[in-house]
Amino acid sequence: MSEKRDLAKKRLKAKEKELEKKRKEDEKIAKKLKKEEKRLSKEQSKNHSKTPKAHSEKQEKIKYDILQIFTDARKYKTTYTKKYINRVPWKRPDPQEIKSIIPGVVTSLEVKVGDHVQKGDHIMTFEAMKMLNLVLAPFDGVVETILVKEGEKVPKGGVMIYLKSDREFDITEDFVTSDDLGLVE
Amino acid sequence: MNLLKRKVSELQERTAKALQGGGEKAIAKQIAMGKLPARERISQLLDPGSFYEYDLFIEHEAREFGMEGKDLAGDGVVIGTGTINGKSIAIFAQDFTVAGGSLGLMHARKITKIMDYALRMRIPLIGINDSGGARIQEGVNSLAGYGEIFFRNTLASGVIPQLSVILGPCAGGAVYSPALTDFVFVVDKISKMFITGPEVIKSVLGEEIDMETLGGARVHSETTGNAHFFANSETECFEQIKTLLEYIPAHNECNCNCEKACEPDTKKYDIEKIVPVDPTKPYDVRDVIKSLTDGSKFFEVQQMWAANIVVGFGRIAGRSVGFVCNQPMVLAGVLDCDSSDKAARFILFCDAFNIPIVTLEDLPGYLPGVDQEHAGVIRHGAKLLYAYSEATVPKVTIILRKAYGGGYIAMNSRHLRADFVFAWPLAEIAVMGPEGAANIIFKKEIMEAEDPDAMRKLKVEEYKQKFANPYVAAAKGYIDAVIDPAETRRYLIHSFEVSANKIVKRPSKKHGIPPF
Repeated sequence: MSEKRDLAKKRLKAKEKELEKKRKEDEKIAKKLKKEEKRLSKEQSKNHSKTPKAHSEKQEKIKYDILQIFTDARKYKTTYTKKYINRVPWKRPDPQEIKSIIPGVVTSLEVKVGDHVQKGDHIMTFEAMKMLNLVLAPFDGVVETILVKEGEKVPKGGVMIYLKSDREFDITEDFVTSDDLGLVE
Repeated sequence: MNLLKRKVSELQERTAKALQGGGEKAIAKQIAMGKLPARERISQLLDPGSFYEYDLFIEHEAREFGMEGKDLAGDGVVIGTGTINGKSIAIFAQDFTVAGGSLGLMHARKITKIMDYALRMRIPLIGINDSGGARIQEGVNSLAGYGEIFFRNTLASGVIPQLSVILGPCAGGAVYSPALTDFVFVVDKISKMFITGPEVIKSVLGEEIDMETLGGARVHSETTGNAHFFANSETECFEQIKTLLEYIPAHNECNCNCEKACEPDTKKYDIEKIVPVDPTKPYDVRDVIKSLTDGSKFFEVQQMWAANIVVGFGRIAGRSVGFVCNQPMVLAGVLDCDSSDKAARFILFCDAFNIPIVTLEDLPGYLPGVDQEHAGVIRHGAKLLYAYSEATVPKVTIILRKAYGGGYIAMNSRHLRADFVFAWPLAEIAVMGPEGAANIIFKKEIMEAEDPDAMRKLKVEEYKQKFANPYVAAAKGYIDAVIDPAETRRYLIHSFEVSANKIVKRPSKKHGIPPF
């Protein structure tokens, strides 16, 4: 089991390295493209006395970014949308963080820091959408930190309690890569 | 004779009183907020003197909470019919000066009455929304009123064009009427739409936000996609409505709206110079559209939302046509959740109202990423396939440059029953881009080569030569012709001429189940 784990960890590290490499490559290409753009715009401004002014001015204002669609494939010169820039990079969720699944108010806390709880124990009551929801411990563990007070409003996804699991969580556990599925990238 | 005069003068008195709305003070307050009174809005939008108002003397039904003694002129809404550029329309405008434009039973009954008229007479319906919401004093009656409106919105959907103009607050349940209509117009700093206002959000969730950032015109035009047209002033908004009505017919069985054809401005928009040959270089696809349409006019819908796809109306040889085009300038023109959604809805509108569709295709595929996959790009992307497949209006596709993989199928391919598919000589129609494809197909060769990079380049070039062109697809008959870009407009005109009598028979069904 531990061998498998090591292997998975190694694989993760290798992937990270690869990604880092790619990022650097992207940066290089972006720099190159920028240089080329400058050169082109200089040439254009020399040759462009014929075209209407308003049009070329409009084109010069746009700042282009690079977007890559397929792995190792073309890099497209384009602009980003606000939504794309603001997208949240995906992070592996930590099951030890007890989060609110909808916005609501902490009605009562049933545990203190340091308490040991068993799976299914009532740890807090959380009022949301006019319903009193019982929050139960998802596994055996020790309450490490409590981040909310009774009566506090919590937004969706807000971390309320950090429950340290008795059994160690391995983030590479259940990690299935596309290679394992027999898929070709 | 004397008696008649007396009766007429009584009518005039009553009319004058009712026309005052909420009174001078309330009107002054409305103007101070930068908004026009309801009747002033109608007279600016409609042809001069063409408006006929109905139900002016309606009285409200509230009998509780001290409402019985109150007099609400016209119960806070103005309804009637008239013309815009000579075309008949039905209109209602909520009057914020009367009890905050709040919706009670009779208020809703007036709106549903004009909706019934519009549906029966088969004329477009325009709704001007400016209301504080349900009239609390009328309780469940006002909820019933909203329900009746939503039902009629749905009934009229696809039969008559329905336009919603948000010129003030539109909160709570009220927002669903505009959401059910075909086009929503908003004005900066005036329009506000949300289900729960800032106060409720603050008291329930502790999140502090102002109305403008929560549901202002800009938010709905850029972020949510709820609005279709954004204007800086009410006057500009009315001009947009007039322009839109030029492109769309009065009802779903009307083929009309042909105008005199005129040539595009080819000096300003030279089709041969717009699209760069290098497939990774961006350009503005709207310039290509303008190089094809009559008078180089293009009326864009949802300009600010999901800008990686461009949709809107133009004319080809006098005929009103809907354009759906990938925009390489934004996100390389990829398809994602929002752009699929935007295009699919536009296609369904065009199909419902007999407006032929032109698709200009140049896209590298679907946008990769965890956020896209988890946002349901499969479900949203499927909407586009559904809309194109379901549409039976004449459909023409021009492949400008790239047409890869799922993107090629989705963008009105032959396989989804495009009537004509033409490709420019620069077109690359293949299962994926040369770089990606070569890496997979020649993985072994590249890995085993002494100089993998050189080998990769060689193989990419090989793939490019063999597959990244329009002739493979042309050889299979998937595209009808490879055309000189300069000939594009001529081909479009001819395609729509020959498909004018197009008829398609589909299996009988109640309705399909689109992947909402």
